[in-house]
Amino acid sequence: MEFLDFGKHTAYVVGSFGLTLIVLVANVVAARARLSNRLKAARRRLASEDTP
Amino acid sequence: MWTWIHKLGSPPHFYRISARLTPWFSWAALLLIVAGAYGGLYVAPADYQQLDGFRIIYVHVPSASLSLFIYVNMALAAAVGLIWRIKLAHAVAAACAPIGASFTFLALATGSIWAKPMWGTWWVWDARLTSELVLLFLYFGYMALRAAIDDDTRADRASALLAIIGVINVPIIKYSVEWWNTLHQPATISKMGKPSMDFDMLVWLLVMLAGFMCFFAAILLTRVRAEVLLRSRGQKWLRNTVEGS
Repeated sequence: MEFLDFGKHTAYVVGSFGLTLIVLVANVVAARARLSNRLKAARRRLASEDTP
Repeated sequence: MWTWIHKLGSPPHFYRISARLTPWFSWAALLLIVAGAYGGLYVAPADYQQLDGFRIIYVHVPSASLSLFIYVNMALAAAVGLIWRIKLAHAVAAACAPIGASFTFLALATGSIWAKPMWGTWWVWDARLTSELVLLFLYFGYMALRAAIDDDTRADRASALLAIIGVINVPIIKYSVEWWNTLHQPATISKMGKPSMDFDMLVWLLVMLAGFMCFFAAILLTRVRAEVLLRSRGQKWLRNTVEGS
């Protein structure tokens, strides 16, 4: 784990970059889930409109 | 130009264009952020005073810049929606809020982590930090207001007013380090004529900033598409689009 060694500031630097990664991934997951849910809801609505 | 803008304001056209653009912004964001993080962590030289601790700048400054940039975008979109009654503009404003809130939280958290080894404390109630915290509450307020009103049109108008009034906080955050005595350091990259950083350090910050901008564009387009789907209930174009995707 030498590549994660930033001297006496290791915990702060790794903590900041780790938190950034979490926030970026959370943004991607939340946005994609929202779009996917809205698409499913729209499909369900259209299917129910087609049903006589 | 006006024809193009007018076309972009049409939900079906915007939906198609944004679906095509999102992968481009996503890949650009991934490449730039990976390159910027690698450069910031391993290529840029350590600071002579802050040593390796200064590397937090590569995530703190882009997230702080984005927190302001997104708010200005949100307020502009809200104003366009309010003045010209363009529903897509309100969809853009609504989509901006959660992304902006997440980057404001990130700016505050990484700033706090950076402050501990440099200032000896996680938090001080100085002008820059407090006004950035107010920005986070403005984002929360905007989202809460939207969620509290069931009628879309009323929610759009009320939240747009809040977004526009709140924009006064943006110059306060930006110039707080000049207007008041603060522990926070002055601007690093806004002085393009005379940046306070060495070029070997600055270049990776600019790469990271470009990566964050592309990331914002990709997430915004995805969220606006979700908003458009919700707001286009019962419209004909939706059937072709949804069944084709």
